[in-house]
Amino acid sequence: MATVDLDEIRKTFGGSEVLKGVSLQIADGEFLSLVGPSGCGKSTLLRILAGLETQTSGRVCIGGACVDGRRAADRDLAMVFQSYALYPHLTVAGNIAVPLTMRRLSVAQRLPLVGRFLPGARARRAAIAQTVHETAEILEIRHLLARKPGQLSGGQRQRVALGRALVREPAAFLLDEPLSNLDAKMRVHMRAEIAQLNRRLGATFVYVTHDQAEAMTMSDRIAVMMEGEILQVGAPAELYDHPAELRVAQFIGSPAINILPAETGADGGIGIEGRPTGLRALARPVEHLGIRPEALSPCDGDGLIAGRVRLVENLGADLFVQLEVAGVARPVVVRLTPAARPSVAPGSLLRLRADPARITGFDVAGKAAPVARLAEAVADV
Amino acid sequence: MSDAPPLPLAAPRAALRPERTQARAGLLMFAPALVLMLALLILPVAVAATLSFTDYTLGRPDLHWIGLGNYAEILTRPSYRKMIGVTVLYVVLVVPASVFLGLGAALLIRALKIGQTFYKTVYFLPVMASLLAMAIVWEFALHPTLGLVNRTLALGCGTALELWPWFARGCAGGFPLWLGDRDHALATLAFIGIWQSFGFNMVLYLAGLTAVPRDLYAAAEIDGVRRATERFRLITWPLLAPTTVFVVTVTTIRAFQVFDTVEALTHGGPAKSTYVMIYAIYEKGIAQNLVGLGAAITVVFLGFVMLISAAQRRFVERKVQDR
Repeated sequence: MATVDLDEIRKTFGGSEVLKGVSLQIADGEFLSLVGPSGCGKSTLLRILAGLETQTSGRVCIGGACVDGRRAADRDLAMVFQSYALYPHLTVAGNIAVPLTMRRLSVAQRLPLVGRFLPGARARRAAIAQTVHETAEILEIRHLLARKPGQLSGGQRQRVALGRALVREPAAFLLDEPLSNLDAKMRVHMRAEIAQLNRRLGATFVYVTHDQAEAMTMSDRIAVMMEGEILQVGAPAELYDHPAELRVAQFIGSPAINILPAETGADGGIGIEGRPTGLRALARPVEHLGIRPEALSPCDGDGLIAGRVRLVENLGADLFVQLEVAGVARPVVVRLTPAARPSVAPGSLLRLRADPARITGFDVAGKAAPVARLAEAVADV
Repeated sequence: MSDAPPLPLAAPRAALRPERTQARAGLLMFAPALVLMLALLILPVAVAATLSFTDYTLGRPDLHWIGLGNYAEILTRPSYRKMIGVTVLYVVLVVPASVFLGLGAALLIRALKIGQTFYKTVYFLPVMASLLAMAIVWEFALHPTLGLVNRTLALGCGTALELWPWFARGCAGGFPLWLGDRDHALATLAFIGIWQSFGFNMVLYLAGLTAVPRDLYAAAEIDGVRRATERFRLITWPLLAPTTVFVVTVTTIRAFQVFDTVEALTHGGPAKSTYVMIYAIYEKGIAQNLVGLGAAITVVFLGFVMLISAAQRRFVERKVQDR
């Protein structure tokens, strides 16, 4: 159980910089997700933290002690791989026991055949078997201990890989896309289990994923990475409601946030397609407005935007309506309750208003720019 | 096919069982392969097996059934008993060395950052080269007086190397005749056999190594495996097991088949010390026309090969059950 500090980590592969000075502080016992599209450098960052790769510059500290130059085996971390990386010729029990035999037995005691007869080996092996059983109990894989990985399903292999990580008490757990090889149902199930495991063990988890839904549901905090940089670090709700950047806003949330092109007048008033929105830019001119699908609702008057219904997706609990809006390249998505279904036949016109508190403005560089209702802005003066 | 089955339409019972007509069609389709296999593989073996019970020699019109006579001769005559011993000894000398050198070379080459292709090519050259041509080179190199080997050894005379008794004896009384020496001939041939074959095993092991997932090594590192030997024992060796079974089988069968170096360098001598089975088959069955005896040795040889193949199958099947 320990804190993890990454300080200005840079990594270059043959001239191209894949990590551009990444700094991140992870608290003891925290569940932090590194999330980003594939190729953003999140796995490289995790491997550098693990000690499987060396950074070009920067420092890695675990539990307050800097571990640069220390090899992975000496960093006291546990890792779960996307491929699970189970030893195919060992049984489940054998797989889970490896981290313990490597640490608790001497080199001589680990020798095949003769090692078992050395003094102390028998007692230590019995203790290891006991720990393996207890770990298997936690993960409910006791009945699988005698099997080989090839005889297990994907979810069961996942549990064995977790077991191998859990069996000793490492400073932190590193998980590299551990759920991406599972089917959708199993993924939802395991994601809850891993989050529970984190609470139960109180251990530090660093979780790499490209799936924002996994990051949102499991994490205490999320670090969004793109192109070798961390764009924003924050609690899931913070990232969702107050994205610092357009790219973060677009990455987090499903269906994705609606991005409407906007223009800012000399007085700060924001318009869409030349029509005033009743919003005002507070600091910098606003180029885009980001509105979540659930922040939009139908209205009778003019509203903020209007468009023709293109497609209605009924998910049972929610109704996602795609609208064709003039001046907006991508269809605008609105979340409605299924009760609204009769009023949104494809082709019909739908006028929408938005909750001003839930509109995020973005400037020309894509950074979040504060906006306020015109009336409030006036009141401020 | 005089009693060809009636068409399915005419026979409602057959039509009720489509799998039967399908089976018949399948039979027809694999018939050519079956015929070819019988004619080209099974039949020659059967003929050889039959001939091994006769005293047939090529050109003689008559043929006598002598039962197990040829086999009795193989088992009782010292020169044939020695033949089996020599062959097995050659295999025992060549196979482990060739397999482990191949594995070692593959591991070392994989560890290289640059020059992998260079070393692969160098070690694979003996495999590609004609062994007969190479045998001539070896004959020159191993010539007792003019050869490169003994001349190089002679350079060491008068140095500290003479502290080694074997070396001192060589300096005093001349170095071995190698191929002309019955104590050294088989070992020398085995050396050439290893030199020639390990490059092939290296290539097979290199292919096997690419199939070992890199993640496993990363996982082992995280699990606290620090030593290269333990990494090898935990991951490389077990995951290469299927490759090893194949490599050992192929190398063993090829070692049993050694012929070209024997024919080119020693002709089975001196004093039958390199009289291996395939050379014996050639000498008896073809050079001396004793077809019956040659066939009997062939059958014994096939027995050995079958034994190896059966052992390999056992291994592979066990591995499959493991997975």
